[in-house]
Amino acid sequence: MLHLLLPPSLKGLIGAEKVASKAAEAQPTTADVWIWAMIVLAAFLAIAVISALLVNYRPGGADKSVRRIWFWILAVLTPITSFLVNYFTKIQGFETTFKKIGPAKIQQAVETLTMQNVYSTIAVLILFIAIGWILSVMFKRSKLGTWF
Amino acid sequence: MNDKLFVIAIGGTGMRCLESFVHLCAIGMFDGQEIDILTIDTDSGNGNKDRSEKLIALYNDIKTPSKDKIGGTPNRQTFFSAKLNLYKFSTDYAGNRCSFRNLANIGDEDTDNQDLADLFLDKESVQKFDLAHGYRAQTHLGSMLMYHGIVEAAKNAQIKGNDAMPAEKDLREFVIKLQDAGAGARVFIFGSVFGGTGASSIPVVPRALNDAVKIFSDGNNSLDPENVKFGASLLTDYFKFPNPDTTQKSKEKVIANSSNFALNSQAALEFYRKDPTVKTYYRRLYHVGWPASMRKDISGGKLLTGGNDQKNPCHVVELMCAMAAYDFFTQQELDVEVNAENMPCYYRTVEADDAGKFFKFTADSFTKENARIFQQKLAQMFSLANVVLASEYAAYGKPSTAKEKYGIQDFISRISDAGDKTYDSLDANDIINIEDYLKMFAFYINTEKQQVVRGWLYQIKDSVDGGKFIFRNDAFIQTVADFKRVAKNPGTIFDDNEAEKNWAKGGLISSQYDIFIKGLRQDTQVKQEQNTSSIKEQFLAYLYNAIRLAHHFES
Repeated sequence: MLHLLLPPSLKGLIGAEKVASKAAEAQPTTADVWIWAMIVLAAFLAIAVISALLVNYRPGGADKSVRRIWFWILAVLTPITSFLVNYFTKIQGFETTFKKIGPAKIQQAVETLTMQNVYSTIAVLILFIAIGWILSVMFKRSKLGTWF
Repeated sequence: MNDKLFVIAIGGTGMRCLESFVHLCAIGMFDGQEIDILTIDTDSGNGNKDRSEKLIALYNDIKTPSKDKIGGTPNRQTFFSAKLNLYKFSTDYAGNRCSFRNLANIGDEDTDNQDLADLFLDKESVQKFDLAHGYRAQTHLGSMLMYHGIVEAAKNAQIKGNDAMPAEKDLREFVIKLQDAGAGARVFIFGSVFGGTGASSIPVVPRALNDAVKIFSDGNNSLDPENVKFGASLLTDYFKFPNPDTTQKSKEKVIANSSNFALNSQAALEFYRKDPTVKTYYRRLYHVGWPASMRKDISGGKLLTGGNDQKNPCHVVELMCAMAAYDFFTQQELDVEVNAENMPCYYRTVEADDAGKFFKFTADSFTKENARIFQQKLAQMFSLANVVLASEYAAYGKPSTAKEKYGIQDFISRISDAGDKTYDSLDANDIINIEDYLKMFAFYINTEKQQVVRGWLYQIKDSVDGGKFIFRNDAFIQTVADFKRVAKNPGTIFDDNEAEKNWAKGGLISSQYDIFIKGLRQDTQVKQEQNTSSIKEQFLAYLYNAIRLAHHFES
């Protein structure tokens, strides 16, 4: 109740500080962006493996093409999904919620997160292909071996 | 069993039995064996002979890795495990040797020889008919001429050396191998006894070979009947054809009449029972017969005396004769006293349905002691044929392209993708040979007529005519419409009461083909004890193991 006795300018200052404090607590970190990127990567790799195993061997070898096509479709979808998940769940929400408290500070945080999102997107693409290649070599005699 | 194995196939029926025998070798019933095969016929252009010899040539092409190793080597626990060496002998009845009178050089003025000949052989028919198509049920003439033909060829080969005719050289090579095998030789003779070349030759061949050995060794060696073991299949009549009309009789002078086959068989068997050569040389005689009521007309409307058009369909009794050879070759002891007056007789029959109308052939019908092995090996080749010809479309002759591989090429491609490049060196001919064999073994599709062309196994099944032959009836394609069903389930060949021997079904997210290819890529390898010596033989062993895995047969 004491804040009701304070002059408006001081009230504003104290309110801004609280919001700023909340913003700092709610701000997604760089680590959050990367963690979510890796979660999306793992999920899509699992989908890739399962989809490869579900495609039956067929006479004529058409199954090899089907597995390869699915692998590369998922290779494209994985970074797109990672970028969009991070953008809509982390970056955009934070920006919208806390832009009132200080556009300059928030903007800097958003720019940092956006750059990390871009880097993690590229990393996810490279990792998806690299891990896919490693799995296809390790399990050469299985259906995964036909990815490359 | 360490004896050296020899097979002699005589006449058209003998060649049919030889065809079944070669298929037994292909499925792997004679592991580790090298078998010398001599074909004997008077009719060098006979269609049955031609087909059997082409089959052996194809068998050898499948195994041959290079020109200096024709036929590869003997292997174990694999397809085409035996090594086959083929020797071809046919008597020369061309030109001025075309009839008995010409051969014996009997002229009208030669009254003594003429009178002697007239005692046994009708002057106008038997003495004058064309011998090129065989002895046409004249076994009294045939026995004499066959013995004469073999001994004459042996003498010619000995005198002429490398200038001898090919048939004479082949005979010499075979006889020398037989001589070298000595006490370790087992010789099995395929022939019929209902009146043709086989019936004529069975009683005289051991004696003729003995005399040939003496000729080639200048009298120093011979075939000791105490040591060299002879066996034979005595196949009585199992088919018929229309009786010749008067025009044909007049034209051909002598022509076989299927109505007399049973009588001929009886006469031949009675003769063998008392014949000194038969009693001296043969340790085992396998008398195989077929019910008279079930004999079919195989003529197709044409009455042939022989020649290339004579290509009879395969029959289950020929497979029984081939399995008789298997029994003879695999028995540890052939402990029959030669010349014994009272030989033991063993009988075997085949179960029929309650009405006695249809036979039910199981693996036990062919061999009691090794029924499981026979069933497994035949099943393995059958399901291999199904997966290659049906699932992989090789029956249609569908060619492989850079993107789409069919038939055996698809298997090689999958094995290569899995990291094993060993079989990439197999060329198109190697692959075509295996697929051609599978077509001869099972079936292929005539794409112009949209018909199923039935191979050996299918013809054997057809000869049972409504009965059962080891496998489920619907495993055999009847029409092109059945093709897709077998293509989808190539490994479902056993009846429901033996369903555990079929390939796993797969369920919602898999198929038999899928499971088979998975096994081919992941779980198959060639073992040292399979004793392969070339990439071709190694690949056959690889396929054998993959198929065996699919059927869950124990090692």
